[in-house]
Amino acid sequence: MRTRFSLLDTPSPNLQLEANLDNAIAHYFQKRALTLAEIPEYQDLVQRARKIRLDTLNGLPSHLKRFRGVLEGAGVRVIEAKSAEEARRAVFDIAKRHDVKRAVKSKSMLSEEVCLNEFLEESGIEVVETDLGELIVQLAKEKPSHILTPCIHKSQREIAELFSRVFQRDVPDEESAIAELARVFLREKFFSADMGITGVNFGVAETGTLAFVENEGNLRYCALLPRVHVALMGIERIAPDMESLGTLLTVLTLAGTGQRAGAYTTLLSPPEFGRKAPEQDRFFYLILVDNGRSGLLSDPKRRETLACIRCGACLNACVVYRHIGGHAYQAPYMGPIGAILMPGIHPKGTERLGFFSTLCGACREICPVGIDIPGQLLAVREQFFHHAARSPAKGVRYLAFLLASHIGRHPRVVSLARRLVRPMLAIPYIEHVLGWGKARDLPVPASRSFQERFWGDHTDAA
Amino acid sequence: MTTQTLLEQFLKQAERLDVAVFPHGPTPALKEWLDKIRTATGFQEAWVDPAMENSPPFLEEALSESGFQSAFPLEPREIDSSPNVALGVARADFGLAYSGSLAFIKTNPLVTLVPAGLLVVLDAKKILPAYKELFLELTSPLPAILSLVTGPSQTSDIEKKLIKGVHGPKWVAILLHG
Amino acid sequence: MAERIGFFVPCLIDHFEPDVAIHAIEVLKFAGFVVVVPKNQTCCGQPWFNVGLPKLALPYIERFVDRFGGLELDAVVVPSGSCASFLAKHAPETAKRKPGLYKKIKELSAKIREFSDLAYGKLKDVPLAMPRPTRVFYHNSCHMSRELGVLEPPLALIDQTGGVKREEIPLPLPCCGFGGAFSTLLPFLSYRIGERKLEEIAKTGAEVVISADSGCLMHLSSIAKKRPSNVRFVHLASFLYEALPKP
Ligand code: SF4
Repeated sequence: MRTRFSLLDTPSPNLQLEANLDNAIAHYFQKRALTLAEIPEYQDLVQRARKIRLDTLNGLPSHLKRFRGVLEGAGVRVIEAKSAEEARRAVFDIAKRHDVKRAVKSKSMLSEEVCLNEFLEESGIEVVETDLGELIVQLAKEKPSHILTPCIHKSQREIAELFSRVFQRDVPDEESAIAELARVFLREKFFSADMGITGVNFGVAETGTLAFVENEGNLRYCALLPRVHVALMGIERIAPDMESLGTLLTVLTLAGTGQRAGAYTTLLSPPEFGRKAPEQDRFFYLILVDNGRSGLLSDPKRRETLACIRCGACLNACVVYRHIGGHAYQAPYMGPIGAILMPGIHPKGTERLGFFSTLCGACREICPVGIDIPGQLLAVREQFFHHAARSPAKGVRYLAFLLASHIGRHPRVVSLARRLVRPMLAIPYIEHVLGWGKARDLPVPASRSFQERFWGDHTDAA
Repeated sequence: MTTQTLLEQFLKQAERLDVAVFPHGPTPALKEWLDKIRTATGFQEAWVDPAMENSPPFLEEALSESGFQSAFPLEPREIDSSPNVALGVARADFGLAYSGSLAFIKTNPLVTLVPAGLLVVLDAKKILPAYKELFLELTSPLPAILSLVTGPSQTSDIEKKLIKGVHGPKWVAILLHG
Repeated sequence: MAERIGFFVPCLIDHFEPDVAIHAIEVLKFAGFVVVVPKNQTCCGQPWFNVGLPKLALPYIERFVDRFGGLELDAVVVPSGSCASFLAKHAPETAKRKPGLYKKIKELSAKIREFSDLAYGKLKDVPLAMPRPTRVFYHNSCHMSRELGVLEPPLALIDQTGGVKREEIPLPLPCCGFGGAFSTLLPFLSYRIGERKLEEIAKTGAEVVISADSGCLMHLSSIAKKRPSNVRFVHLASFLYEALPKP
């Protein structure tokens, strides 16, 4: 990935994409408003959830130790993956060990993060996405563009056309017809798969319980039917105890979809995790993935980013996301959370994401754990300029801002600059003036500033 | 909160979720619901959860009257091709007033997942306020699976429009007693 | 005794819309404040803070402290929501990078009041009226509402003005797309968002867009000028100035 800003900054907006996102996101906000209107204590819940998440992160090593202790005490196979590479390898090794030909998979952003599908498929293992939205992007050979609604960028008509092409039949432009086709197609996969791969919403340190939330039922199939179940969990997704789990589950669905609960909430607890292992040849593995999270955790200024419970709400609220869609971020996590998480776990080439925001704060307002996303974005921006000297693109920007800051410091220099640039219709202290100018009628600076008018032309010391 | 207010809240949420609630007994409404599923799916098989102790006799009758054939679900590994099941019948251990969720502890989770319709027997006295109280009810060690079902299976993946019955039941109904 | 307030002039107003500052001062005087305007003010430093170069904002904070410190002011009024939010909410944290600065700015920070917030306290019972019936749209500045929490005062002031009908948008875009540095780094995207905002506003039928943030106003009006539109963009201070009871 290169550090480029102009990437999405084209003079011609993608109107179809905008319309698709607008339409879907309007539905989201309507549903959410209806539900929250009847939950006056919602903001208190958010504060409670926030406290739970921050406290958990502050003591994460000990919570993790406890969690692992409970699991291992129950004989559960826990694998630690430091990197994406290790995580992919671990899943692959399990697949080989159990002679897996076909895997069914429920939606897991973590699996996208570690590029699991590509790796397994290159190794000859068939991977079938079973969440409807994920299946749609898989069939379209695309990537998810939203962490909750992977195909949010597509209209129903586009999906019907895709299905018609892939399944070689006439699929009508009706949501129920599309869903029914997917249902029949996937059912056969569920019952013939050797391995199910899922993410994890929360792991409970106190009990070793794993909590999964979904609406379709596909996750349940993936976790319960195949011989082998592999669950991938980020090390930060710990709830200390069952009570805090309850709070987190509540805010997760309220914020994510405006539902009081997902249609299916599945809690699997050790030692069996829903399967009578191993005497019936049924196996469960948990892969705990770090992949850069420890780095964020050890930085007190950036730790808060890990409080995210991946509800997806900040994407819907983000005015930038709503215009460029998820693919523009060129990263597994998109939107505001992507912009603060990616530079933390994978800084190379992703620091520029910190600038994909107007800092309007709508994300912080909607976040069910109250993450100060604008504050984290500012930290990412600082990180961007940290090694400015090493990259020409960064260096140029740094120098421009440095120069502007020197001009702006002295009232008389600003006034002089204003007079100089007035004929050029430009603003004295922002770079990319031409970019502004191309898209806008540049505002004309006043011939005399307020201060000059107020105090006369000689603005000497007070 | 009193049992009565919990029940009222639960029923309100059930209604929002489009979950039908019938009294515990043979009623025309129940028959109509069963017939609807029988006709809509064209399937006969009804999975009755083996963990469902003393299933009420009127239910057996109602099922056969609507043309269902009761069967007991197999262990997952014994099912080798995707079965066509019209109806799942199970007893919920608890209901949650806050969300209208049904909690199952002993039930084979496939009974509440594979069929096109789901009929749940629930004791009105077993309605708890929310997750917190439910989790307090569970004694350690926790059940291998705690399964919560909140309305029909659904997705909003296509233009955020609600579609019911994606992989799990499209129709859910409750037989409420006590 | 009348309250003594310091007047901070946001740089966009100073150099692009000086009338707004004059209007704001007139409104504040009408409201009974003694208005002090320190000389040689500069930008508050927010642009550098927002772009991720907080160190470059320090000289600006220092100047602010130098200009406004020791004047025995009851409040410092800022007629732009986002500058007010920077000075009130972020300047102290930023100042910690320079020994001694934090203490000085902290004290002044606590006195920062956004213009409409301060004016509302004194104007709420004044019979404001527009000469002609006007349909207006109030554009909420993100920093002003979400950071500072000033949401009601401007709405209340507009709503109490005779002859004014305020239009609203049911599910508005959360931001106009200006974002300061954002508009310079991603100018077309910023433009597009602003354009969408203007489309929303056009649907309401409002003829006047009022805001209390000079950045949003400049952004939106610079886009509107490229399109066929008769909408006027007015700072809340100018709107109130026009609506004050005439002697
Ligand atoms: S940052 Fe907050 S709003 Fe965004 S996905 Fe995470 S939890 Fe949800």
